Amino acid sequence: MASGSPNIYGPKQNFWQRHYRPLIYLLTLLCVVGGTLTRLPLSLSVSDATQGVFDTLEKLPELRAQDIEKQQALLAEKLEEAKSNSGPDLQKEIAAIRDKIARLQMNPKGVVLVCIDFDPSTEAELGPMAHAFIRHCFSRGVKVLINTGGNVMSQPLAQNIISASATEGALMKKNKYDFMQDGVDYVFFGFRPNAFQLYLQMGENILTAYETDYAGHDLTLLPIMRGIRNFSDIDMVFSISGYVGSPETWITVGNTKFGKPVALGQVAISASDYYPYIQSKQICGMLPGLRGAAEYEGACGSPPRATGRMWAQLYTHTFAILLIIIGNLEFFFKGFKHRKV
Amino acid sequence: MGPDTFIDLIGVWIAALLTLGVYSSLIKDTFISKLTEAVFVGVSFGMSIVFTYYNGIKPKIEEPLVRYYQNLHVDYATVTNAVTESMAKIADAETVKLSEGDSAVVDNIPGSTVFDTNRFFAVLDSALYKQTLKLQSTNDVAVSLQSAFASSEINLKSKDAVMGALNEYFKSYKTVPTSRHFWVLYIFISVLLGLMFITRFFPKHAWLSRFPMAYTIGIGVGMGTPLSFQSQIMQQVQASFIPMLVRNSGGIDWLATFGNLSLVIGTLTVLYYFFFSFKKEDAASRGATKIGIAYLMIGFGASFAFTIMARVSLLIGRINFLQDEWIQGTYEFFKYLK
Repeated sequence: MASGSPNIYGPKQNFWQRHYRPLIYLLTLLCVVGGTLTRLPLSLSVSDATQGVFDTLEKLPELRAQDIEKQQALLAEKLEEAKSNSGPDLQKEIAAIRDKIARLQMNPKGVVLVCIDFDPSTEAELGPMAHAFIRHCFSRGVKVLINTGGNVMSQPLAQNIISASATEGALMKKNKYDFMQDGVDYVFFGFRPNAFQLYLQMGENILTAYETDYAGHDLTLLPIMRGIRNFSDIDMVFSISGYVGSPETWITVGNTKFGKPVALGQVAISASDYYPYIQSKQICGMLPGLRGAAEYEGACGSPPRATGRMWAQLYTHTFAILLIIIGNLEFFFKGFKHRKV
Repeated sequence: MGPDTFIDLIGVWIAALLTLGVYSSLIKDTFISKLTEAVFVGVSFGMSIVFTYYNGIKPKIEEPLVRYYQNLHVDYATVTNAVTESMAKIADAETVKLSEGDSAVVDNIPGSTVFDTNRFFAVLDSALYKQTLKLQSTNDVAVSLQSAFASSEINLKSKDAVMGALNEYFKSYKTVPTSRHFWVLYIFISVLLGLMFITRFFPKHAWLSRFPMAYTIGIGVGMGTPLSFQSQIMQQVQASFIPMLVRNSGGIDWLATFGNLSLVIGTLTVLYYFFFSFKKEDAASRGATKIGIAYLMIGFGASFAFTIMARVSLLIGRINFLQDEWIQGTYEFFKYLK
């Protein structure tokens, strides 16, 4: 640079100003590595949002029993009506209620639909909560239907999670369970395009929405599908999503249209957007990020996939808070200096 | 959980090197970091296309069309014989079940005391008019009928009634019903609409892409608006109508009261902050705006904290992979080989 010409690169930077970024990256890395190597137990309190998901799943047999009772009362009412009026419409209605009761009685512990809608970029955060939730379902004898939402890349991840959860029941600290069978205890539908229209179609008839499972088996031949026809046979929806818009779709279709309890498993980055839905009771609970997964693991006794990562979170958050304090101090001191000038 | 086979080991090494390649961009943008980005995008798109074909186009378009074409040329007598044989077997099995003392159970099944011809026809329709059913295959026909009747709970204990109803059904039975021809037309129109999107690449004919675009947006808006309005606006507004003073058995619940007050004040002041129709010059307006800004800052702070947690979680996932599957997995793989 010729002498006397303006310095287009701004004022001269000192060593710290030139090298602070790599140093922060290095320290963050050390925090994470240190956290993953820390093997001490960590106790976490369970938030209301996480407890809401846990409690809803625990209450499913009760909800189903209530549903059966309600349908039986309705049937009795219709049969009474049929004594004075035995038109074909009423007979059809009675047959439909009987079918519904028979289907409800086939799965007395409940049926849950789990929507696994994330790709490898958010697997580190959402994978542990999918494992924990599906294991909790299996340990309670709840039948599990699994689909993927709008992203086709979720399929292989979902398949791995389901296979692992089905075979690792003995790893549970409490509520251990035996090997779970594909097509009997759970079914994986795979991916179909156009999530919103697909969910609406599932509300009418799951068999026409999917026809086959992920492996290509005819759904009508699977034992699990004998008691499940549409949303009226499902007791709860759990959407684990790494995308914007996917949870809203489930809230709109699952809760608003079909009146089912919907729970969310969200990446932490968008979790704060969905707390208002808890307050409005449109969702029964939410697992926010890795912390939510760790809380859920603690609540249901699942192997500590997420809990083991919380030390790293603790160290890194402490480091981030320190950086924020240092940054603010620097701002204030520079500010005072500037005023003096 | 480390690699089990040599191929797995190669996969883990490629993944580990790509991970390090991506993180190398933290120091400086290099050829390696650009390469890993390109590989990531390329593999994602490549896999998406393949998965979409196998999960969308193949089961929903290709297979039903191929089956439709095959079923057009199937021999009617072959199908009816296969159906008759299968139904006879199903009815026989029901009779055997009854002779083993299950009559009481069967009689208790809802709707099973009377042979319902209409329901019988409906179940036959659902079994024989499945879009993917291969009518040439006797086995496929038998399996489809068995599964349909197994889940229907229709009373089949009288074989004579079943076979009589079946003969009645065959009087109007067609291997490919008229509705299926219309369905094929609908498939062709859908495929044509889909292909019209591609005309975007040809400026002269790009206007054609407006038709599928209009159709898609129309369907989306038509189906989504009423439901979204209900769930995103009405229910949210409804949830903000809460009591300002919360009472419990012991008197006033101060914590809940404070929470509700805070919610109402926050909602109103933030809405007021975004109201730009007039200048907010008086003290009350400026005060309300400042409170609104404070609420927004608290919200942004919470989002920022969650963002850190999310990003750190992803880093932890990668570090765990490098530690457990790459370093430890490789060590254990070769240790096991020895």
